[in-house]
Amino acid sequence: MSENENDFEALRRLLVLKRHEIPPPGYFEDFSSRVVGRIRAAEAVRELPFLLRLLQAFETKPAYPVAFASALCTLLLFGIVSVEQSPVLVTTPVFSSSGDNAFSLTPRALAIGNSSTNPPVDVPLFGTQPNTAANYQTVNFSPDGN
Amino acid sequence: MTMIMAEPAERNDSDAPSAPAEEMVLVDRARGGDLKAYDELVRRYQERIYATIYHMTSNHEDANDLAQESFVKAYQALKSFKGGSSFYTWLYRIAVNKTINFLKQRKNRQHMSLNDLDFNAEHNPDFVALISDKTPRRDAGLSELQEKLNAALLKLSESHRLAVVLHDVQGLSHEEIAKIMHCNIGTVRSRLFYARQQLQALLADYVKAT
Repeated sequence: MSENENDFEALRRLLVLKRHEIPPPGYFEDFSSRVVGRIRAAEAVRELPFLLRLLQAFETKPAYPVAFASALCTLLLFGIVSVEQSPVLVTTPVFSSSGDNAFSLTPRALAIGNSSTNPPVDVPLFGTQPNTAANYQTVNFSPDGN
Repeated sequence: MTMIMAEPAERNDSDAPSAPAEEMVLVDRARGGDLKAYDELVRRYQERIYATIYHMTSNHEDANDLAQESFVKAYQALKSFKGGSSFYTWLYRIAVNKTINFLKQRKNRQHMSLNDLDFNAEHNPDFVALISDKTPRRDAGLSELQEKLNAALLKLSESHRLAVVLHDVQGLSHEEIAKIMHCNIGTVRSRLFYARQQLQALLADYVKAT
C-alpha cells in the first residue's frame, strides 16, 4: 500500500489545494447561533396546534397548498361523477289504510322518498298496504230497483 | 489567515475527539434540552462538518444548508445516541448520509459555487510550481486549477469521493473513515485506491507537472 501512496503523492499534493478553500470571512462566527435558532423554530412549530402547523407548512412550502388544492379538486370531481352515475330514486306511492282509497303518502313513505341516501327499494310498511279485501262493497243489481 | 479547514496537523487537543468524558457531559446536557451545551458542541465540529459537506458538494450554499440541517437533525436525534461510538463519529455519519441523499437527488443539476482560496495557497510551493512558466499549463491560474480539481471530484461516485475527501483532504484515518462509512477498512482502502486512480487520469496534466 505504501507503494501506492507514493504513486499518488503528486495527486495528494494537488488535493491539498482543497484545504485552502475557505467560506466567506466571519461565516463561522454566528453559525452555531443560526443552528440554535433553527432548533428553537422547529420546537416552536411542534408546539403549535395542528391547524396552525398546517398553515405554517403551507407558507413555507408552496408545494403543500398546491397538493392540497389538487386533492380537493379531485375529491370534488369524484363526488360530482359519482352523483351523476348513481340511479335516480323513484318514490313509490303507498296506499294509506285510513280514510278513502285515494293515493296518499304516509310520513314514513315521504321520509324514504326524500332521502337521497336510501336505496330505491320498496320497503313493506306494516299496515299501510292497500287492503283490497276490506275496502270494497258488494253491490247487487236488480232490474226492478230493490 | 482565517482558517485552513480540517488539516490534521493543526488540530488541537481540545477540538479532537479525545475528551470523551467532557464531551459526554455536554451531550447529556444537550439531551436534556440545554441549548447552550449543544451550542458548544456545534462550535467544536462546525468547521469539520461544513468542510466535509462542502468538499462533497463543491457548493457553498448547499454546504451551508446541509451543515445546519445536519446539526438540527443531530439535536433532534440525540435521544437515540447511545454512546456506542463517539459523538463526533455519530455526527459525521448524520452529515454524510444527509449529503449523499442530497447528492442523489441533485444528480442532474450539479452547480459549483466555490469558496475563495485563502492567502496561503498562493505561497504554497507546489501550487506556485504548478502555475509557473515551467509547467505545460502556465496559463492556468490557481482558481482555474481549483475549478478543475472540483470538477474532477464531482465526477467520482459519492462513496469514492467521500473516501478521498475524508482521507486526503480532511486527513482522517482509515479506521475513522470505516466507522463513518459503515464499512471495513479494506473497503475504505480499495475505494481510496480507485478514486485516486480516476482522479489521476482526470487531472493528468496537473499531476504530471507537480
